[in-house]
Amino acid sequence: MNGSALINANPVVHERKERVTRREVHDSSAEPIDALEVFDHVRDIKDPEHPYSLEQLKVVTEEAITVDDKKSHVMVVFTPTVQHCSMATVIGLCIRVQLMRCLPPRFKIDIKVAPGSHASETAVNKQLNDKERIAAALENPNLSELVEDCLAPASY
Amino acid sequence: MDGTPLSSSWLVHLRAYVNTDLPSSHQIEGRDAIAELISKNALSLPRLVSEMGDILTSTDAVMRARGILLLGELWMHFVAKPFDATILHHFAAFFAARLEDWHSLHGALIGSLALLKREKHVGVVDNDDAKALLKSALENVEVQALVQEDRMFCLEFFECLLVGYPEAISSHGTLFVERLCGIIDGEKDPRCLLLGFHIVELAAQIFPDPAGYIGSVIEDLFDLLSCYFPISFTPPPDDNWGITREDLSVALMHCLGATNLFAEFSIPFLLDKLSSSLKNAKLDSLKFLGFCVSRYGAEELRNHSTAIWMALKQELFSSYKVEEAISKERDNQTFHEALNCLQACLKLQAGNKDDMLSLERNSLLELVVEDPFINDFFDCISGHLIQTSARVTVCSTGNGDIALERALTTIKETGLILTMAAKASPASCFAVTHRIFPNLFNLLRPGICIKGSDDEKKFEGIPVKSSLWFPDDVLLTVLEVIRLIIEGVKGLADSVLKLQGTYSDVKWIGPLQLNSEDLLMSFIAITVSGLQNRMDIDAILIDRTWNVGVAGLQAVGSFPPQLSILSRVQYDYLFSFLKYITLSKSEATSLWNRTVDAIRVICTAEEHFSCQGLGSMFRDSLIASLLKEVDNYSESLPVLCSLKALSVLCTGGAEILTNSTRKLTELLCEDLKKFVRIASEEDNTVKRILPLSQGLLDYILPCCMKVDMDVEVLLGLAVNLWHIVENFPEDGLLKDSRDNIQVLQNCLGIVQICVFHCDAPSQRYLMLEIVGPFVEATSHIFGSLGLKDIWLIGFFSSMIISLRPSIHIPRAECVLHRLCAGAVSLSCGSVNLIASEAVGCLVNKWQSNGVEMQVSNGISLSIAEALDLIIKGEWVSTALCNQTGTACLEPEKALVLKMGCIKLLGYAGKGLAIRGHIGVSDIAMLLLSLVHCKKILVDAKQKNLLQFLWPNDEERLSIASAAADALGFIAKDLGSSGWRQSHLVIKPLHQQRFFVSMLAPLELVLKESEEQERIILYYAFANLISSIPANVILMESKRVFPFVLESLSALSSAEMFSTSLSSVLLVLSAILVDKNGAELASRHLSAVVGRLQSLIQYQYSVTVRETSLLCLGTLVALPYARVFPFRTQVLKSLTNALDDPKRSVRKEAVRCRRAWELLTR
Repeated sequence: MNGSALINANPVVHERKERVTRREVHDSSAEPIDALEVFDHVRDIKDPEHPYSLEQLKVVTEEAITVDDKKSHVMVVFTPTVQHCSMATVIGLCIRVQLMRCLPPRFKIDIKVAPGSHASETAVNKQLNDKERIAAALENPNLSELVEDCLAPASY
Repeated sequence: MDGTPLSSSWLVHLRAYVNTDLPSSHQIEGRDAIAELISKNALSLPRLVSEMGDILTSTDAVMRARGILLLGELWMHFVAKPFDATILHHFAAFFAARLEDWHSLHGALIGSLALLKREKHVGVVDNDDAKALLKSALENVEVQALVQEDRMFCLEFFECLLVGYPEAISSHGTLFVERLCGIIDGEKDPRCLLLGFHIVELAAQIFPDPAGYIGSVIEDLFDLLSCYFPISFTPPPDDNWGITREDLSVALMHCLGATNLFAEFSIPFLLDKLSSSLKNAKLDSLKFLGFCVSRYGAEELRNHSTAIWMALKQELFSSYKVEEAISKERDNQTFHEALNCLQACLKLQAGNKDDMLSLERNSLLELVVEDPFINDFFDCISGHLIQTSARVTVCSTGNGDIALERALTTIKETGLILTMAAKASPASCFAVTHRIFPNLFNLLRPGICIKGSDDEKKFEGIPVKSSLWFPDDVLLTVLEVIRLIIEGVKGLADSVLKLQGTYSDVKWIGPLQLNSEDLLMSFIAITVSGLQNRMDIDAILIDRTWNVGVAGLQAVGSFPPQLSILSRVQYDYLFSFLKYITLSKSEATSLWNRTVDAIRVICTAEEHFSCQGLGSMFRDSLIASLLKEVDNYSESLPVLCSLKALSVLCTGGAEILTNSTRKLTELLCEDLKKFVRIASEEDNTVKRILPLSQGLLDYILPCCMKVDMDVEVLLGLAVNLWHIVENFPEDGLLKDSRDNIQVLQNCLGIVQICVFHCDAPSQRYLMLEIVGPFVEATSHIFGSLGLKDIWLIGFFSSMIISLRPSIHIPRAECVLHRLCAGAVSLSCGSVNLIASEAVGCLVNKWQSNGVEMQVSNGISLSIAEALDLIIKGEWVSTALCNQTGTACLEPEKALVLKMGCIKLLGYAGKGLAIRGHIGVSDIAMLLLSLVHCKKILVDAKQKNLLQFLWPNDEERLSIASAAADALGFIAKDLGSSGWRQSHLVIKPLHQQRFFVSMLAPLELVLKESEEQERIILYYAFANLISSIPANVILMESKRVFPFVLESLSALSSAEMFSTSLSSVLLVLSAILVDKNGAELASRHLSAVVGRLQSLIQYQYSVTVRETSLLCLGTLVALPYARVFPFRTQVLKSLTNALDDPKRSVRKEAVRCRRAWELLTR
């Protein structure tokens, strides 16, 4: 990570999407959690390697998020910038921690890399959805500091 | 030196100044002290010089330089102090000599500059001295070798010489010009450059001769100057001088335009730079070109006209740039700059005055008018017209779209160029309009035939049908272009008038006059065509059609009368068309609005040119027709529309407005007289009075206020209406329908505005006129008031509200009593509120300015006594018309009556609070007792009223909350309380005073009250606090804080308090971000967190949930040690908020949670 060469030295930076201001609904009808809301939570997470947000690097997009409010299920599919990206697990961990904090606990959160976008896709997927490994990772002070760094609100 | 008597006092300063070892602040002090002495005449300059002898002639260069610098700075200091010629002469000679001394050059330069800067009335150096200075400077000073500061002094020195002593310069012309080139060569400092450019400009103006000093070096000079073009300069970030790129650019532009000797170099140079790919270079060259050509004059333009036109064409037409034509990004800035440049050039075209038709060969104007681009323009239009007449749809294919787009662009661009040309000068105006209009109308004319082509009947009747034309993009664009050209000609007319004062020679308007019929008809035709097709085409296009049509008519019609392009017959036709549209209000509201406005513009244009013409005659006749329309009450044009049109048309003059208002008020009075006698709602009077009164209130009266109308008219209206009401029959037949109440409200509004704008004498007169009848008329029983009484009370209240504070009200006691009774009387529900407001106004203005109110028997009544009168509540029995109290009333009616009383008390309290009167506390205590339902705070005189208002068990909650509302109303600021501005006596900070005064009693009653009674008390508290400015609350935060916390838990119990709850939460958030408040909160953190935790679940209001999350989030800023223990608890409670049904709440929850999460780190 530090000292060694960057895994993707020249990532393609995309433009950030316009923030949608939703129409305020003043009646008492409920507003279910949807993909855009989840995307709003994860779009500003910083890439562990570059001073860009995951949105700018197109690692996460609104389209790649599926939410079922009734069944309390969220699925986030993200696309690492390069096939052999060793940061994929860290990115996935960041997304998970962020969603754990922002979503009500009733939700089951699945996080996957996009099919074909990573060399060791299955291994990463397995790691990202393994409760114990997640808990263990967060107990590692170095790793948790890295995650907090990425989650800290920043202005790009 | 030591022997001088002054030595002790000032030689010290002198030594301090020349001593370079001392810090500069000491030196400056020394200099200032000497300057002070000289300005007080305690020390003379010759004396100073003689004392300084040693220093000035010292062989130590540093000391010598300091000495001379001192003299130089002193002269700079005394630039405005008179000195006699001898001293000036000596010093001039001295400094001229010192310029030779390289070491003391700095001081000598400052000194010389100071001498030249002097103004005539304080004595200036004479010409010979100036010559000597110049000679010495030219011979001895090598400007380029100096530091920046000295260079600048040197340049300023030359500048002063050029301005004040041109002869001196010419005596050393050759040498000066030689140095001048040196000065500019390679100069980099922006300050020096600004000066340098200015010097060249001045020099060029002084020596205009081609064979003169400047003429001989003109090419070199131009070479030096042209290096700077285009200026590229970005001011440094810490720039104190504020010089921008634009400043430098303008200075260089003026420099190049200073003499036409530059022309032969600069015009080709600028044309060459025009082809640069740098946008700045392009813009600057266009700007420079326009400016320089207009300075050089027509002669130089003639030499370069072909080249200039070719270059400008490149910039003007996107179609010439093939690759750019497709990309839609047109460079607007360049285009406009090119237009400006063209205009500047065309302004020089004087043309042949006698025969405007013959254009000078190869002049720019001829090049423009004969250019093929105009043919392209015609081709575009004719091509399109053929296509549409053959019903070939242009937009059917993709190709068609591009072709259409191109055609539109060509037409628009050409239009702008032609407009610019028409605006530039009489000659170009003539040439353009002469070239364009005949051909253009040959193309368009087939579409203009409106109805029968019979020549004689052409101007009769109103067109109902426009054949052929269908409003589409191209046609509308063409017409817009025509309108723009007309506007351009009008712009020219304006500038000609400004230049010449009159219109002496106006041949250039000729082509417009020749084509006037076509101009007029085409705009009428397009308007009519819009009317015909409005069902078939979409609203935006229709709107544009009318926009184009009416704006065109407005442009054609609003020429100054001397230049009028329409004949009398055509004018009449135009006006009859506009009148037709105005009087036949169809569904086309936007057309109607625009037409009315166009008429206004046409008429005011005439006034602008200060002459009476057809327009104002037409306006008068239209106004008469509109009034007649109102009078006759026809269905075709709604009354409200007529009045709106009248209000627009009348903005022109006070006289017309006065007359129209008179007529309208007559009509209103007439209607009002009939109003109560006619039972049938089918009658026209009943139908008309509603829109008539509404229109007067909404349109006509606001207009009257703008033009400073005669008070007589307003007073007359108020008095007349009053007399009519006074003579209402006792047994009026009016039903309490909504319309009728609206009529009453409108009339009350009208009276209120009228009286408000009356001056003090008229108001005084009015009071004498109306108080007697009012008291007489309302002397009988209030229990069963008739229609007349209700109207009388309403009218009287409106008038009282609008009175000025200085107006004396006769029989004030009676008036107050009656108004109070009127405010609560059940039988006049529609005027209760306005009567309450009148009571509020009455106590507010009572006896202010020392004017005493008198009661019937001549004894004056103080404000305290007036207040007693209200508080004793005897008027209640008047309103009830019996002595038995509420016992005999039905329970609902009794409650309404009580509520009315509470509202009245609110108004009276507010009136007092606004003027800052202490009496408000009596009323507030009364209200507080009602909120609290305990009689602890009242004294004997309030017993009676309190007895009456005392609620029985069912009424308790409604009475208490009404009283709490009334307390809130007293504390509200004027703007949001709905109390109209009416000459109130206002004491600053009255809200704050009232709020602070209420805190102690609140504390008291809260202590005494039971748990369940407190809710309503906290509701009252929330009402009070909601409109108080935050800084007041923060000052009292210690006292307020416990209330805030308690009310948060108390008010969360019921839905009806949700608004109050959110306003208290806002107060809490303000307290939390304040320093003292935060300290308070951290002491009671457990309570604060507890309250907020329960509020984030508050089901009735999203705002409450959001605000409480916000407050919870701000808590983390409190001391870490206090906050941290709550972390787990808060995070746990936030879990629920994360699942809130509302998205905004969830967002806030995430934010709040993040803040608390971060506490560990």
